[in-house]
Amino acid sequence: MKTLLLQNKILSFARRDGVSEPSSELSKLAETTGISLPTGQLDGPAELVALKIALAAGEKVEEAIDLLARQHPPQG
Amino acid sequence: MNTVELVLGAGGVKGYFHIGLLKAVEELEIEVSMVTGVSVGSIIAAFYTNGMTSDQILKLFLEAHEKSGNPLLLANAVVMPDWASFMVGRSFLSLERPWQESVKKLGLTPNQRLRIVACDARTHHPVVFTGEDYNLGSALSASGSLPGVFLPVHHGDMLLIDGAAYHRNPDEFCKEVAIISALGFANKWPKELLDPMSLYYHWREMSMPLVPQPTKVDTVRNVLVDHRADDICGLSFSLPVKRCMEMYDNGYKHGFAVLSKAIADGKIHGKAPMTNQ
Repeated sequence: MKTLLLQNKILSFARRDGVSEPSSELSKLAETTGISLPTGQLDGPAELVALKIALAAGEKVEEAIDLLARQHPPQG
Repeated sequence: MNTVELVLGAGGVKGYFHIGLLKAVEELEIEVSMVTGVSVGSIIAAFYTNGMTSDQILKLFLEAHEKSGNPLLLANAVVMPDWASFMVGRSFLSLERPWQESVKKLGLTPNQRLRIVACDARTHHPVVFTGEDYNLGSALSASGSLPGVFLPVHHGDMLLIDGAAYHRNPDEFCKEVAIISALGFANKWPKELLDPMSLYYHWREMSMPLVPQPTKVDTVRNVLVDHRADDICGLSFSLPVKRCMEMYDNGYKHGFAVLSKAIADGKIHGKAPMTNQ
């Protein structure tokens, strides 16, 4: 499933080495893709939030991940 | 109180009607406090109460539908059953492993807004999962384990089967007025050519259901949205995507009409609908 592949990419990005708070990476990603998620959509387990972002943003998410990974390399 | 409960009944692939109804619920801004789900209804209830929108659920269902013929998915469900389970389920397929994996992968959790109904195979009494302290994968597997297709789920001393064997649309657990989304039974032959297995199950649903499935609900207190999908069998998983979208559209249109009337009659609270919908 395309969405589940995207969800995996999002989770790998949010949990990459050096990231201490995956949830804030997910928020940044949602913002960067420009999607507007209804209230509360960024709450819950990382898997569920990643799924919602994948469903809302589709393939835009891949560009956003590349951009964020370049702009904000994890510290440490 | 301005909230209502939702009951999403059993009916396999006809669950697309539920998703259409959820779209109508969202558009009419009806506030839902609790969702009771049986079988496919429990899956949609779990997604919805975990904060997913009808659009998101539809997209996931359609993607899963495209993969439903994948033999690898079936292989993941094959198990060697114990004797008691086999006697109840008459199958070698179990939903338990696929659902445990899916619940983990999708990040779904039990929650206070979700109620899942399964059935004790021996007594045919309901087993209701509520709150936050149970295994959601097991509850979803149990609620959808129709004997003759899937094996039951071990739960303490009990073997649990599809909640539809107790009741297809159990509204008795609701504490507030409920919107009941009922999927009905096939009683006509299908419009399209089905694969032999789907055709067999279609014939069974029309003439000799795999288990009795009571349907009576309280229509005085509650709002019944009866989708009357009389030419679709719940186990016709080879239906074309076009038919799935028809179910979704009809679920939305019929749901919107019934719920708008219920709002106009003051039975439930929601946004007054615009005309010409």
